[in-house]
Order: sequence, then structure tokens, then C-alpha cells
Amino acid sequence: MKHKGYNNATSPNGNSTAQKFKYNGTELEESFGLNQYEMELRNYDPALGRWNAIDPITHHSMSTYNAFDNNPIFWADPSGADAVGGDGLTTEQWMEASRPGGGGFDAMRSYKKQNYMGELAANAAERAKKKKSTISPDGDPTFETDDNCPPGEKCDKDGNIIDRSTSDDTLAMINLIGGLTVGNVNHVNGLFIKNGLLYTKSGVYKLYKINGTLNGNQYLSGSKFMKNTNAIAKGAKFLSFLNVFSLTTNYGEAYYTGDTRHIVRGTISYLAGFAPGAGAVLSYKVDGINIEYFHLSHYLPSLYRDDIFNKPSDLADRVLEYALKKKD
Amino acid sequence: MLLAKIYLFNHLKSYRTTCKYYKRKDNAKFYAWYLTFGKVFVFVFYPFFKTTELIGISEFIHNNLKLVSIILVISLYAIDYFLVSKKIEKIKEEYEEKPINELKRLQFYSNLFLILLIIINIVFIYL
Repeated sequence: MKHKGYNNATSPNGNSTAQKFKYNGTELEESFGLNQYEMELRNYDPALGRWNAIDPITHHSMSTYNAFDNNPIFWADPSGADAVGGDGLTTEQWMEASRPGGGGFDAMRSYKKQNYMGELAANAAERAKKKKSTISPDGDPTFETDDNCPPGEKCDKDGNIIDRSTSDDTLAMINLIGGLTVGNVNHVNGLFIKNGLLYTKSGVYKLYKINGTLNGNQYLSGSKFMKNTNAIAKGAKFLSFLNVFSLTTNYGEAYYTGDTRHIVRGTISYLAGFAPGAGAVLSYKVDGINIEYFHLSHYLPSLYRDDIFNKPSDLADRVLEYALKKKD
Repeated sequence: MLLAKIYLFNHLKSYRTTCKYYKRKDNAKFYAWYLTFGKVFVFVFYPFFKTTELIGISEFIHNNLKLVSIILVISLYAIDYFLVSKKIEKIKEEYEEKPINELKRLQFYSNLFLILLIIINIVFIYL
């Protein structure tokens, strides 16, 4: 049985639907007379040169409907999220990706990845050449695993990223257990005192009220464990001072790697340690958060394209060179 | 000697603030050290790591950062515990008896020390 009159589109290549993928590699929506480019997050109106929805990443220097940072030749924005430059792309790759049907943003991303991996391999080879001892008798340079590791991260021998939350787990757990014990012992002591019992080193006392104040002199026999609560609290407090440890390690890491995110995390973790009872728990939680989330651009989007975080592009120069070469 | 006096003075200031927020004296004592250590460390960490680099033990410290900081923190806590925290009430009483002029002088010296630390930091940054 064959139905006719609908579902006419058959092959995605070469038909009218495939031809609609145009500017930035995105589809031009012509139905209802819209004539807008359908990006992933919002639509772009080529007649106005503006987006028809607000920008998910706000740049305080310009309007949130502003497209391609007012420079559609230099910047591409295939997702509708943020303008993408040609950093890390060769001129040919840039031209190839941005032509109609060239793959757009996805193609650029894959080119960038290719180039980045190529650069890493080249750097590793260079370093291996400098260190004679790392070259094997066959002449093949043995790559150091550190070279395949992204900045600010630690890798194992196979090049896999070690998550910081697991690498520091033992100490953080000791800290957490210490903090929890301090909080609980203090809380339980408080409850006992409220109910008329006082546990000290020397023994257990029953308290009674005179004129609204608690007094204690009547000795009760208590278990050995309860007699030692103060000792437990002291020991636990000794463990919970590892809160300070996160301050020193994070600041040290910031000094050696030059990554300011460690300072932000260390300071927050240290300040969280001041919360009575729950301080160690909060500090442990902060230590477990991925370092990426302490990047200031998450909270101050105007820093998103700061030169400190992203290297400036030399694409304009390269395009010019390419054009001049073609002329010759 | 003056350095010890400045440390004691600042520790007492921290103790006064922590006493406001932590009603149990044990906790207040601990957090007083915690606060003092944090304040000192923020001003001292850059020159500290820089001097290790100048001496040439920077690589060892970077590789054993956890171990080094554990030793540093525990030793500093032990020194503080035996010399200050254990007899802090006594020290507090002694300071209460001191004349205002002497306390003012201590305040001046501690401010001077702070400025000196900031200058050292700046010098080390542009070294």
C-alpha cells in the first residue's frame, strides 16, 4: 500500500531542502514568509541584520540583539550563542567551513580540534628532541604524557585527566569526618545540657535549676564513651583544621600553574570553614567542585573575551596575506 | 621579640572577634588560630613561594605540595597551641592591664609590619 500526496522529501542531498542550508551553514526558514536563518538557539533575520531573540550570553558593551558583534566578516555565530572567531584555524579551513553547506560551526570545531592535537604532537616532538634521553634507540621520540594534559589539570600515565575531587579524596574525607564529629558532639552535648545532664572528663552530672539557672553537683555513673566526649571533640577538631590545608594547597597550585581560579576556590573553601559545625562539610563541598566553575567568565560575562583568558586572533592578518597572495 | 608581640596582639584581636560568634571557648580558640593563620598566609604566600624558587627547592615543593603544607600547618598549629592558645586567657588578662599608650604602640607596629609585608609582596612581584 502506498500513500501519496505527502512526505515528498526523499533524499537530503541535492533536493530543495538541502539547498536551504546557506549562511553559516544553517537552514533558511522560508515558510510563512519568515525568511530567517534557524540557528540552534534563536533565529537570525538577514533583512534587519539582528537576532529576533535575546542573547543567552550578555555582552555589556552592546545590545543583546546585536549579531556577529557588528562584524559579520570576521565573526561567525552558527549556534546563536556567541560569536566564534577563527582562532586556531588556517585560512583555507576558515573559508571551507564558512561557505554555504561547508559544515559551519561543527566543521570549525573539528578543524580546531585537529589543529590542537597536531600542535600538541609537534610540541611534544620538539621537547623530546631537546631531551636526548627521551628518544628511543629507534629514533622515535617518546611523548611525555604531560603534553597531552590540558593546562590546570593533572593526568595519569595514559593521559587520562585525574579528577581533583578523587585525587584529594582521602584528606578531604578526613576533614569532613572531623568536622562532622565536632558538630555532632557539640550538638549532642548541647541537647544533654538542655535535658539536665552534663558530661565532663571527670564524670556525668545531673543538673538542676535554681532561680532559672542550671547548676550541677550530683554525680551519676555514665558509660566510658560518654565520659570521653570532650577528648573525641578535641581529636575531631584537630582533624577539621585541614580546612586550612585547602587554602595552602590551592594558593600553591595557583602560584605554580598561574591559574587564578585556584585562588578563588581556596579562598571560598577557607571562608566556608568558618561556618560553625558545618564548616568542614561546606569546605569539602567547595573543594570537590570542578575548577572550571571558578572561572570569572561564568559570573562576569563581559570578561568572556578578555585577552588574559583567550589569546587574540591573528586571523585578519592571515586573510589579508591570503588575499594578497591570490592577487599575485 | 617584637614580631612575637605583634603576633600575640593580632591573635588576641582575632580571639576577640571569634568569641563573638563561637560561644564555646574551645571553638573560639581554634577559630582564632584559623583566622590568624589565614590573614598571615594571604600576605606571606607569594614571598614564601618566591623565596623557595630562589633557593631552588621550588620543584620539590610543587611535587610534594600536600605533604609540605600538612607539615607547615601542623607545625604552626602545634607552636600556636603550646605558646598561645593554651594560655590565652592569661595573656588576655595581661594585655588588659597594659596602659593604652603601649597598646597604641603595638597597633602602630603591627600596621607598620603590614605595610612592610605589602611592600615586600610588590617587590617580589616585580623581581
